[in-house]
Amino acid sequence: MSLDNSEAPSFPQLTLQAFIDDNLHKIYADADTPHQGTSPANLDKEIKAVQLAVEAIKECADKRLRDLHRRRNHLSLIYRLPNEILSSIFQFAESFARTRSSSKRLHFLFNISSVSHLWREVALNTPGLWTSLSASLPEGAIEASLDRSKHAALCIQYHSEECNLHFSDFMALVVPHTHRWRTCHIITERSRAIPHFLQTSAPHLETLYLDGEIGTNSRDSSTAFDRIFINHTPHLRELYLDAIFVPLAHPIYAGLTTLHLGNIDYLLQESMFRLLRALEGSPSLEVLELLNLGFTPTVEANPSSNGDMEGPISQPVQLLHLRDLRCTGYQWSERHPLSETRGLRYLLSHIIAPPTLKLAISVRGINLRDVIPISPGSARNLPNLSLIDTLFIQAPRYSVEQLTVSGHCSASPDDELVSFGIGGDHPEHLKLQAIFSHLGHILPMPLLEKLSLSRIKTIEPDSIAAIVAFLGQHSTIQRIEFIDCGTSVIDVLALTPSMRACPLLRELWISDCTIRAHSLIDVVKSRTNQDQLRGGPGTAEVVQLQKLNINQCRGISPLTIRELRRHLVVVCQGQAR
Amino acid sequence: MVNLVTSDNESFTVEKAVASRSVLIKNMLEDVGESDQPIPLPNVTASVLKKVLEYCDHHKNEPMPTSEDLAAEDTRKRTTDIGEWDQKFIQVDQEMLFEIILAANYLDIKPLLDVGCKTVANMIKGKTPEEIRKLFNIVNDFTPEEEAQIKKENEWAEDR
Repeated sequence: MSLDNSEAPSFPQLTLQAFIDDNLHKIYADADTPHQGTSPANLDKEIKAVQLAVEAIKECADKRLRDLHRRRNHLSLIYRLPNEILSSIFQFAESFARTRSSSKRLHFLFNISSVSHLWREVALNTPGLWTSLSASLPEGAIEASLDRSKHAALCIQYHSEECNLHFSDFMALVVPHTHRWRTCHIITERSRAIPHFLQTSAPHLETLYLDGEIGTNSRDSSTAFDRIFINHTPHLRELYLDAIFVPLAHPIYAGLTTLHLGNIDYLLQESMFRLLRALEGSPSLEVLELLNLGFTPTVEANPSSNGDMEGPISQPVQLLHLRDLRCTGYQWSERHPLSETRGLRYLLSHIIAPPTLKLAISVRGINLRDVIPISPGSARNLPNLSLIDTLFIQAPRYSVEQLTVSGHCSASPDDELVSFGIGGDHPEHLKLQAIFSHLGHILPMPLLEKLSLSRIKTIEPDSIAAIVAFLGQHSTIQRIEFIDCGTSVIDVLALTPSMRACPLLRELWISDCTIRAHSLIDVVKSRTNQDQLRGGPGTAEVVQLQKLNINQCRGISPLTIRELRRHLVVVCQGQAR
Repeated sequence: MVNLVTSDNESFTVEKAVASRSVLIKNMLEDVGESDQPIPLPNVTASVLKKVLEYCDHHKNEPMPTSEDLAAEDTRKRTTDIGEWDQKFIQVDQEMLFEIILAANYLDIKPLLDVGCKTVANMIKGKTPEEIRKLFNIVNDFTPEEEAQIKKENEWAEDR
């Protein structure tokens, strides 16, 4: 065999030729017939020999190239880092990718495993990178992740609207690893199918999020979820149940730091008591969120029932770590009018929270009396409410929105202490009247210094009386803000000096309001006129209004401002002076 | 004061509070007690130690991470956020960046190690394999089997 080169063969060519000849020799040595010169069969053998030689050389060259590439990579600066540091870098980067969609996260993991042999080795041997298993991923990716996650704790996620697999197919993959689950998020309208897959112990489960469909399984008559995880979730700390009823005596409620219950109908009278007992089992609870819960009318606590596990609890539940208590979307039930809000009131009057509690309540009704417990004990139970020094009342921009009330404490590191959303189809003036009528009684604010009213355009006579009464109850107010309010609202202040309301009022802030000049002058005069302010013997201290901030108010001319400045300091912004 | 000697035989005299940000040095000081003996750091050059000490000096009054902090740290709490000062501090070339990471690892200064790792993590975020190779001067050295598996993975990723 020759290589058909006209020139003398080079050293590599000679080596190659020797290699091919060697292969050829082996082929003929193995053959039954000896080499009999040029024939199609012999040429085929020769072709095969050359092909084998080429493949062997290519393999050899590839290996050599790989070795060279690896040696070269080891001179790269980043290769100086030990594998455990590279692994740590990947985990930091993955934590960022985790905030994105499951597919983006997967993309990231595949990207870092496609850089080089070493990077792939490190990525594939970092189990923590492969622990998020979402049904939105392809089956192969889930299987690969299960394998690569080795023994690490898993995060399971099924969202029926973003899934690549059927619920049962996904669960069939992940259920054999229930002992490794750390978090489990399941959102499916087929909530009946869920319990079947939660039949083994979950010793490492820390977060459980079950979101089903409102129906049979969202009522406290349901028994479908009676024995999920065979009652063994010793490390569960965060529990979210939406339209899924798990019996309140289930040990799943013990030791929680976060509890969310939503869209559940508690038809049984004893359910409220059971809920309070469930809360007793989680004294370290930090966040309690109750969304659209229905309660039957609850009997008031009866001391004779003490010790009865189905009856009222004898002592309020101490939740001394509670940071957030959110109660949202309470509905007026046709079956049991007021039941939901009164259920909430019962609950609030039977828990003791720390002063740092943030309370957010959003109700459809307008009567805060149905929500906030009014009892001598309520100040003790929910002590933060009395720390409010700033109150914001904001009318909705659109009719579908709620009127919101939020109370703040400037000394509190996390400013907002309480917020209410007052919704429903009630006319705005009724909501406003209800707020001012009830707020001061239900929620005494002995430290209130600042009141801010927003987007209140007009005010009815009944509401005026309620506002005046509210101001009368809060003699500590020093500053009032009107933002985007109508003249009739600001006029209320002209009535109050003679009624000795807000005797400490020092500062007014009027912004984006449509206001009549003479009304404002009247208000200022009434609050700066010594004769009007002077009280009789024994009356409390009354101070003069000292400062007026006007910001972008139509109807206030430079002439009016000059007049106002005769009485107090006026600061103008965005205003003709 | 503590006297530290680098691999290139340069001496640094620093406050004990600064040097003690390194758990390695802190333990050495506790082991030997009061001593004027210099502490040799054979794995750190002067230029890198200077930079590390700058970090330690800036953070000297901060509480040291406790064993509970370290135990509580897991993947769920990891973020790639870096403080403003640290971000400026770590704006160095790649060689110095990796040297700082190695020094932080050797000297056992966990917060500095994290700053270095987060910086590299931020560099690789959102990049393709080819872009990462270019960034760190790496070449593709996969075996054909690995290439085949990578191809399959890319198909999974593209399925979505």
